[in-house]
Amino acid sequence: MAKESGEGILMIEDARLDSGAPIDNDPTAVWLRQAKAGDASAFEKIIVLHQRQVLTTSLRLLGDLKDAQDAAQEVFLRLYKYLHRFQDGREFPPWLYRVTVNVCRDAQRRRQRTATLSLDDLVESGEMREPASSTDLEAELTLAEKRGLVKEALKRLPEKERAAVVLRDIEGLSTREVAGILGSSEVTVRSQVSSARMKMKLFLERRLKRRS
Amino acid sequence: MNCNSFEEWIALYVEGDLNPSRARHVESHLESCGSCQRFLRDLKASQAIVKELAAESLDPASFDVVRERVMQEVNRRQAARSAWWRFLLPSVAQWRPAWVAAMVVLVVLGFLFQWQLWRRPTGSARPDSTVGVSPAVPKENPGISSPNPSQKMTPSLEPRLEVATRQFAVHHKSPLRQELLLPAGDQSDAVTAEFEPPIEQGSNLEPEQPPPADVPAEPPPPLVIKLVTDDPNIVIVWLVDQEVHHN
Repeated sequence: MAKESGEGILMIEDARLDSGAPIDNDPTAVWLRQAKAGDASAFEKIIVLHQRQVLTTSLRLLGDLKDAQDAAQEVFLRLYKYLHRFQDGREFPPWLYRVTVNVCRDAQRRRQRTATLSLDDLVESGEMREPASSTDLEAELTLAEKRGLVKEALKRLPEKERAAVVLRDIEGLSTREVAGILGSSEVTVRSQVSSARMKMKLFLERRLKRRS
Repeated sequence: MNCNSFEEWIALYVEGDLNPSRARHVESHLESCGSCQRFLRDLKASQAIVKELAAESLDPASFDVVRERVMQEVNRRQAARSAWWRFLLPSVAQWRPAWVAAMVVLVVLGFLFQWQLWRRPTGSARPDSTVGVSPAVPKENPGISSPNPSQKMTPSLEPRLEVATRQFAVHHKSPLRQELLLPAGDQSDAVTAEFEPPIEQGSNLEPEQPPPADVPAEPPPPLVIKLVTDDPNIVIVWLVDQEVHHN
């Protein structure tokens, strides 16, 4: 039970006390309070804690490190602007994912697309309807080649399918969490993820066959 | 259900995203379909490659670039905010006398304006004045004769006096005032005004003689004017002081 209090922040803290949830064990919550009070070093600690999440997700969505760094900068500046909205650190990672996806989507729409041929084009042309190779893909590729192929495949995916598969398969979020971040239903996310997995499989098989 | 439809389900089954009933349906199909078994095997291989990307770590310098740019912008915004307050607070302190003077001038001007508005329509007759009540009635009822030409009101005073008449009538419904009511037979439908000369004991209606020089002149009693309205409970009484001029 939350104790009655005139201030929302105190009510939340009281509720967490009564529920046994730790208050100061979450470093993000402490740094958020300090950052809201004007402590720039606390805000920098928040960046250090979450920069991997923001930058790597941006890189997988945009496929270019410089663009990803610009997007990550924009995400953290938006965080600084809306610091007052956060009472604790629990809702923080989903919010960061959501803003990251939105910023990357805007960046993609602004820039010229470098990919001239998408996976959809390849599928529709029948080029990717060749019989699936039984070759062990994983054994024939080096680690760097594998990552390069996945990045290339991700670039060619439609925007929404790319976001869904990055969050679900690479970031390891649940379908429900992905749906919450993307603002869509779980059924839609499953459909997008299924389509993206099949397209990426076909893309990797095609590239491997070309190599051999 | 053909194998193409099963492939969509297998793409979810491979990562455990299918509900249990559909998963059992897929498993039963896989037992009898070699093509879908091969599809599942290749899909697992491609998913393993995709997940390799999750283990990729970026150069720490890439994070430093972002953090430094963000903190540079944050510090710039904080400095700009501090500069704004440094500019605003001394300015407020410096302009305080000017603001106070401006407020005083505004208050004085407002008072003068209100005083002019209050003074213009009332003149010598105030809305709450007893003397100023009756003259408004004849405007609505032309049949009423004016008791004294000198008591005619200027046109600019009439609207306000009409309001005052209503206020006067409403406020004088108390039983104490009912002793002033006229008999019912004397009340007409229209509002009428009656002028009763002062009743003096011993008066024989002869021309008034000037008082002896050694007797101090007594002030004449006030002139009583009664205004009877349609409402028998409302009678407006007007008392007018009479001035005596001795030559």
